[in-house]
Amino acid sequence: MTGKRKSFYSLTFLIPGMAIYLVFFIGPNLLSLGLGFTDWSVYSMTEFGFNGLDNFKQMLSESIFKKSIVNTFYFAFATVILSNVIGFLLAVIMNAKLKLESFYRSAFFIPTTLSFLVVGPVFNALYNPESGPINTFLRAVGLGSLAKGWLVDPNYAMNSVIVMSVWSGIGVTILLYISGLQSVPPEYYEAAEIDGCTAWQKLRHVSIPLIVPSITVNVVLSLIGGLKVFGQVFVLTNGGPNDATQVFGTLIFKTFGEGLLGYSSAVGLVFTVIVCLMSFVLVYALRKLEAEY
Amino acid sequence: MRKSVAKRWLPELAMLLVTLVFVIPVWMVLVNSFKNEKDAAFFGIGLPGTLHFENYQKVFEEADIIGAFLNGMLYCAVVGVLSLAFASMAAFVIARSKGRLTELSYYVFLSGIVLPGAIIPTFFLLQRMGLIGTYASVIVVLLSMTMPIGVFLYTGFVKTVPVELDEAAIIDGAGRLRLFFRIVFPLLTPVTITLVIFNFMGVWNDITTQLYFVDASKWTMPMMVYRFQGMYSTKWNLVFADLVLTSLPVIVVYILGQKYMVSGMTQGAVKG
Repeated sequence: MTGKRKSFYSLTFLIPGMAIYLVFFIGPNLLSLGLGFTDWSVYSMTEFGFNGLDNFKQMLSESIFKKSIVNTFYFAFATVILSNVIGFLLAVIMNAKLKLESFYRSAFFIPTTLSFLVVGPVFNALYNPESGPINTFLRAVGLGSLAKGWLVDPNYAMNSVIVMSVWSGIGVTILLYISGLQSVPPEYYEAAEIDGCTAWQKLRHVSIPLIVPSITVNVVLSLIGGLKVFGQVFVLTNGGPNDATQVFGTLIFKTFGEGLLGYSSAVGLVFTVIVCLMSFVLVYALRKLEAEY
Repeated sequence: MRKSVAKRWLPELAMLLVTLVFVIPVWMVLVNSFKNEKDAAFFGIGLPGTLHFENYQKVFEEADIIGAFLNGMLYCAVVGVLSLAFASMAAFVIARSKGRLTELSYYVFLSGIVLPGAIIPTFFLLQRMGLIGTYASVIVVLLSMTMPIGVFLYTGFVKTVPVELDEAAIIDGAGRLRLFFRIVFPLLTPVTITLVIFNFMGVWNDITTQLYFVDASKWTMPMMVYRFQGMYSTKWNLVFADLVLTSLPVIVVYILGQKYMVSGMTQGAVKG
């Protein structure tokens, strides 16, 4: 019987999904280990040769590469912090059984259903230096000096992209925190109340320790998503002005557009290594944190 | 007494103010899509004097809405169905059999959650296979990208389905396919619905694969917004009407599925 049962779980069921995934996802990742060391370009599609570490040397000599690294990390950390702090606070408020809970939920979540290609033009309009509602509002309340060229000024462009990104993605963060908070047994709060805990103490000593797993999931997901940023920058600034918002995703697209395919693969390879390293470090650090509680 | 009233309404008021930040941009798009070109350029939030429905008519004529809608539906349907079938089958074997190979498969699938897709090498592969520029290129790449989360959620959920059920079915003489598709798969419905919505949004809103692998004739509605905005950069009334039409399909799917999505996501994540 066991032998017979075992045959019902034969590996053939794994084959279709695994084959597609290995060929079109894992395969290209392995290919980049080779392609990144070639001079493949659109001018020599079929004939190209290995050029050793040339691509990587070129990368290090270019300021656009350093800017991309700095910008990618800045974007990732800023979005992780903003979306988790704001998302957590909103989830805590919403967890108090509000009357219009489903309305709030929809308001926060509908932006996450929209493509950046849809959200992009909306924020282009909002950020418009002359007629954009943000500057119009600032001028109307007498704070005209704070009105900026949100996307055209290199000093503000990256932060403007970050704001749009948090706006459009925070729905998922809030949802995950709410489900984490709802899994805390109500008796714990009752016990804390009997002990005379204030709202802050309840949050600090009951809610937070018990939702560390939710924090882990949210931080890891938003960090990985942040490092992989492409669409948000692509729709708003495409790396400009003056490379102020250039990130890895847009640098790969830019070098691809220039026809430097081997070089572009090399940039992608460095990017993959960075994302993997960061994820491992973060998961390790958060595991330790979880163990402490 | 006064304090309790304040305590009850303060969070409500705070949340209403916060939601304004989310509602106003959406409202701005909606009202300006019905204004004339001159009024829409101010991005006001006031109601339009007269409703300019011809904006929508113009977008239908100029933006190839129907072609782009059908492209999107093709990607969503093919990727959606194959992804659910392949991911659930793989997860069934991974959750049930205890071999080394299945365990390794699970981690190989999960690595896709962290790894970014290698776009240029994928371009190389598709080009060598003669798939660049075809619908198939977008489909196979998006299908492979939806596998990790599908396998992850299904594996967690299959473990909650009792093994005794499989045994009973086998004793009754059910074959492999019958056991899985007739008996086990229907029990996985909460995860299936969650993934239908996830995959629909992921595929419908995809940028990268279409941008790199196919030309505009095979783009979906959001991608066509990008092109349309480039051509009509000053006609914000038309751009906004295009945005409204493009958002409708995905918002409809969200409204239909939100109840299942929340429960499916938490169940899958907690049990996984």
